[in-house]
Amino acid sequence: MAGALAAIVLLSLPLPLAPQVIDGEQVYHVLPPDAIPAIYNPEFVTGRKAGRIMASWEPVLGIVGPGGTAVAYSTWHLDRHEIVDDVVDGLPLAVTW
Amino acid sequence: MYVRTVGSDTLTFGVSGLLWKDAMVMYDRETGSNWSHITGQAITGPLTGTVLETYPAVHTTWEAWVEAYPKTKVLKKPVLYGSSYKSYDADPRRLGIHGRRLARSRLPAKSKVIGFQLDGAAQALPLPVLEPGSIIQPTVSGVPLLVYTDPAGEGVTIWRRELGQATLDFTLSEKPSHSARASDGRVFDLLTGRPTGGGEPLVRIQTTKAYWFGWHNFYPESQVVTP
Repeated sequence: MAGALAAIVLLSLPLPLAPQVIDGEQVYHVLPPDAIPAIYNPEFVTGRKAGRIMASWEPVLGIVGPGGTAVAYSTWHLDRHEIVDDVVDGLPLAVTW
Repeated sequence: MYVRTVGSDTLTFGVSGLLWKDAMVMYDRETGSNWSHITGQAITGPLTGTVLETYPAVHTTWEAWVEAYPKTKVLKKPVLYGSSYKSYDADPRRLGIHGRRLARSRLPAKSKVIGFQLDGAAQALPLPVLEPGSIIQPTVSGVPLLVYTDPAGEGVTIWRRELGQATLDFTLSEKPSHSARASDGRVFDLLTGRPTGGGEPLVRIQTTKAYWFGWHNFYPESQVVTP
């Protein structure tokens, strides 16, 4: 009975699974996809208004887009989301560090 | 920081929930390929082997950034009082989620390093050796570099000191903030690389901030830069 249940559970796993070893290193399944939520639709505030949400010593990742637009991302916030799918001056960027 | 296009297609990246070499693995929603966020290379799926183009980014503090770019946009967020990795950062015994040991290590495993590539060779500059609000000018593999550390000790930018035919030497300037005067008299902004009077900017070396053990997982041959 337990064996049959195990077989059903195994058969119901999504396939194909990622190979378990790549380049000699184990790949670990730690969380389901999107358990850590990437930011797919980022919203922004102006630098002038950001004083309310940003500490002066807060670490940021800063970029300047190809058109000269400057954007700052708090790395404290990035630690909770890992990835921001952004578009800066028309250029699609994956913000991560 | 990556450009998320492959050919003419735009990819959307999420967090796969996989860990490889103690580092986060991204997936793209269009093809389901999995990507190392350290190397930007797809490790499984239809795009295996494809490498994303990197895009230059600066680590600094909010104060320094908004001073350099007063018109900056900021990603909307709640008020936060630190990183979710704060307790992890503080515990030298916790390495990744598996607690692997790093044999014969040249640095404490959880030293923060600034990792970069120089002519194809991986280099790691230990963050603790960098004094906040300072510059150092090491020569690494024969390449003269300028390393700037901001007053908070958070932001580090690295530049080639060779510009055209000349090799420049720098002295940190009091004003404007985060700038240095070169031996040819020009003053360069050390967040943007631009000279104040206009002209050719310094060439930036792209950097990644990482734990030494994480950097070492990806680049076991990495050299450790000593100032």
